[in-house]
Amino acid sequence: MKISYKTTITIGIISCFLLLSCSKDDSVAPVEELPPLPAVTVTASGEYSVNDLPGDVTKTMDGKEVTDDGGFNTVYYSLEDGRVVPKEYANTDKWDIAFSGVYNSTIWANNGSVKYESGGSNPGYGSPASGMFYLVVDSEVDAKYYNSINHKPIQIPIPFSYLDEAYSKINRVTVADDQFNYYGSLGLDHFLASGNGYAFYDFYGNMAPGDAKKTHVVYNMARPFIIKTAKGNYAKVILYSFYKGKPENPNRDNVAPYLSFKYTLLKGGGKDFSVLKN
Amino acid sequence: MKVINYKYTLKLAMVGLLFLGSCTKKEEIPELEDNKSTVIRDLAGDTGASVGEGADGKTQRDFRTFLFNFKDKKQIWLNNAEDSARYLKTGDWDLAFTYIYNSIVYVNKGQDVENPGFGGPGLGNITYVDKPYNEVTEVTSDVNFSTRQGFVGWDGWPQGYNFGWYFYQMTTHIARPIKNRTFIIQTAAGKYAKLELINVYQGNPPVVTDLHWPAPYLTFRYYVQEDGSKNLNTN
Repeated sequence: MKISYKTTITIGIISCFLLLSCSKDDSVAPVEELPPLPAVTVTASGEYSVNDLPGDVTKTMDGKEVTDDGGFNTVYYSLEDGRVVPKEYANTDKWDIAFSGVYNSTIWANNGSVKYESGGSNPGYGSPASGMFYLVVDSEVDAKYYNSINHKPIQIPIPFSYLDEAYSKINRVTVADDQFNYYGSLGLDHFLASGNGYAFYDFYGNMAPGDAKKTHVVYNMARPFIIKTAKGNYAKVILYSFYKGKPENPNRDNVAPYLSFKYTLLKGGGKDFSVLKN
Repeated sequence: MKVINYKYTLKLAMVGLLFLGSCTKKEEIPELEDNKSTVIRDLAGDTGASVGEGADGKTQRDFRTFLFNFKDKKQIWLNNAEDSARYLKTGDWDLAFTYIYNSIVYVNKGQDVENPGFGGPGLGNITYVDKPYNEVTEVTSDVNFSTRQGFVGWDGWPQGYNFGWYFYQMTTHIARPIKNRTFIIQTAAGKYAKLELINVYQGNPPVVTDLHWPAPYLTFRYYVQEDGSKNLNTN
């Protein structure tokens, strides 16, 4: 509550200043007060879990085409502070990871510099942040459940133990910043030319023929990713599920989007996750 | 290929009447042939697959990929893993028509991990200019091939920065080709070429409003400069 109070004061002072310095009324920009931020839950390096973080649960893709974007509102999250950040903070450095698009399945780091010729942009366009991400494809772990030739799982469900294994194997950030992706977003695996991704979308229910409840189901893969936060720190993240209750073997009865993920954050710019292990 | 159903013929006729009624000047439909380029009309893609439900005679399943070779205009189908293993990592193809309605079109780029030809000898590359096909007469010094993508499909998909050859309209679910967009590419052998992807609907109709218009029937044209130079003049 202290934070929001201070913010209000600051905005009050700014608006006074604007009133004093402008002679014409119509040149005064309307000052929008930012909504209060939720309480900080993370203050130190460490491993944290987020379960059933609601995406935009007011939207659905039922009856819509695969290529429809569904109009889902973007969800912004601060790994550094451990809280959801309201959309009014999109162009600030208050958030580190955003979930946009269909069922909030497109993942972004906060990068204020990225705007496309087509008009689209990073959800943090205009922010001071230089965030980016790196998807970790561990071919040893992948081989246990995934066919890297046809880009389909060998089996479903994909056990969470594999996801944990790939995540745990990341002991440190070994890739240079210039190998990270700052320009694009992270999405589904090999879905309509998407390339490597973090989850398999079984559009036609190919993995469970004859079971109507198995069409249009997303299975998260053992594909952790490293996020460079808005403050320039590193975090490794594994996303388990888009469905409420984090089911290991989801079907159409499960409710989406509710995001469950785990991450390890290194405050202070370090690259060695193993220092946190006991 | 030439079986156009009665309903569509009727609609075409009606559209024609509409045009006649509303235009005082005859509409100029650009001629595709220029005596140098190769024009491919209504090349049937995987017409047995569909994305949505309720399409007659179609099954909801993944679209099968086919490869296309510029020189002999050969269509190579990938029907199974053996076909993929046999053809993908070769220089026998210049374009791969993949995914929904075979509308996501890759060049053969062996160095690109995201490319169907990854690991093969393909020297493919792609970029675009927003200029009519006939006005693209050379690969100018300001042309840079994309380092971020080796395919074109739906404009802005899957990444917001991806350039494409059609817009996909959310409200109608119809693909609308981008007019006067020309792709400058390199073939599997590294030769410079230009490519215009024109339509995915049968008969290359100027406007499609019917979601069930027969598709995919691909119309496109290309010109390969065989001498290795950057001259793409087809006038």
